[in-house]
Amino acid sequence: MPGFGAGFEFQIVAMRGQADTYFSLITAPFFALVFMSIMEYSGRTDLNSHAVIAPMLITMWTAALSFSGEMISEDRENGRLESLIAAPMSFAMLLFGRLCACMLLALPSFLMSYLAAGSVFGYWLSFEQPLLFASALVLTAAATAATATALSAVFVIAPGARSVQNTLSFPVYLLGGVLVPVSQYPGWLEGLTRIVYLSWGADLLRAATTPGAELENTICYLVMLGLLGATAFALGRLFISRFLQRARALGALAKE
Amino acid sequence: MTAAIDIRGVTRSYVVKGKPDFMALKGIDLTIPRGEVHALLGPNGAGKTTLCRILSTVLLPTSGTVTVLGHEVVRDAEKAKQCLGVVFGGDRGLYNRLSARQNLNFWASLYGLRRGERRRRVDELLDRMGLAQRADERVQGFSRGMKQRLHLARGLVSDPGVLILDEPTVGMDPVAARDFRDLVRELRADGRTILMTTHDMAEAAELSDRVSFIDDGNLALTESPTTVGNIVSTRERVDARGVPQEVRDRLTGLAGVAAVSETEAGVLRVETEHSEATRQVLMTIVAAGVTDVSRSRPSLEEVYLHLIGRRGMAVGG
Repeated sequence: MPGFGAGFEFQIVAMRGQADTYFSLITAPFFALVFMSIMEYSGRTDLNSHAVIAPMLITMWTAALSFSGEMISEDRENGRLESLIAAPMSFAMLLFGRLCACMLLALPSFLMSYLAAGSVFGYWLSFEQPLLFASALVLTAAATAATATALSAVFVIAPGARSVQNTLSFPVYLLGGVLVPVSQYPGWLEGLTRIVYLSWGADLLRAATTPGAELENTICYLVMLGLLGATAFALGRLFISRFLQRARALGALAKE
Repeated sequence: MTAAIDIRGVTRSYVVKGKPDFMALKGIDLTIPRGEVHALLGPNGAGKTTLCRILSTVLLPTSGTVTVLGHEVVRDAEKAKQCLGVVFGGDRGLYNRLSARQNLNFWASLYGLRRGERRRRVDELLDRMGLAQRADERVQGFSRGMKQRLHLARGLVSDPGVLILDEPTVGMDPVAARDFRDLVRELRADGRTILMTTHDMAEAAELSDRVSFIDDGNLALTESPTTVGNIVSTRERVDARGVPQEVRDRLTGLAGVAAVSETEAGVLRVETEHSEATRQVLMTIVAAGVTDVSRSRPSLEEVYLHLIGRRGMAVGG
């Protein structure tokens, strides 16, 4: 995967030195406490695992939106895009590698949510199926990065799309079943949610951490999550290729 | 043997709203053999950077073909990129929040260098560019000249056979510029092919095997710096200070004198058409008691001005 490793390694180095990278983490334990309060108050302590998993998924999606909106445009505005395109590697893989590294932010986010729920409400999330949890986490992160790769191209092809960037948060939380399982939604809405990769990932993560919870067909969930992620990445590659071809034709790679 | 760079009939036009298309390149033909240092000279807007961008695969030509070490830059871009090192001008283009070492490490990884090889290459380049002492400082604190040196290191990180340098010495202090010239000589000794754009005539004359003059999207001339001087002016030139007016008048009337003028520095300049006329001019001036006299051929800068014209601050197009 030429470009992936370079992007992944670079983004870790770049994020290490930037304090603003970590802002999204500050909200994670607060989200966990708010969600836990709702579960406790409503007497649905069986859904406590949802309250701990949701902030991690929110951090992932927030990071995806934030970084995908900036990566190409920042490189273009700072005169780096031409040099990147002149290098012999896949630009889409480079972006995907960078965005996968951004997904690592989900790990401290999860840890903080876990500690907040445990220390304040005495609820310590149990890892009932650790292997499933790890697989679902990796696949969800990769699918989020893949979706962000496609979004990054959309944001640069259609700069107007960036104005709706911030409004993409809550619809995706809802359609992704980040807090409430999509099986609880009205039937017509549930069908729509199944084209959002996050709905499969969230169900898998919750199933792996909720005692007694079983999915009808775990493999099917994993495959669907992988397929939706792969589709997003294929679209991302296509969009980026179109953008680069157009920019090379118009001479628009550099922004003076 | 395949040429390092082969440019055939390259044109490039840009769409300008409400106006006819702007032709930045109007049919360029140029072949640069391997191991040559080639300078591209021309005023702002002449098409130098457009040509560099096409060569480095980031801009598509409107028509024509360009090959780098046998690889066509449009159809076979990935292979062409592997042979190329590119340094675009200016002090932008770096990750300012990262150190010089981190910047180079990243660029080296883009060219597929493995960890050990990358570390060795980055250390070597930092040392060669005089940046080793500040390798771990953030680039945002660097001077323009230091950033330019880091750009050069970036261009060399993949050890390319062909190096494209777009205004490489812009912003460098004289010492750094001299070091850069030494570096270009070393690179040439390594057998690398270098195409560089520059406004610095002395630099082009000193470093290049051949120079090309480009103006308004056309290639005006490609020759060695010495040959260019001879082609443009078969004339000789006599410069003198303190020449009385009556002698000036007499010089103007001498056979074989093409022009008599005064430079901005107040030096009388007499251009002659052949050696006999030069001898007559010298005798006339010396007989008038003038001793501050010199004889020379035109510099590359004068050739440039002769070919491109005295356009001042105006840009081409």
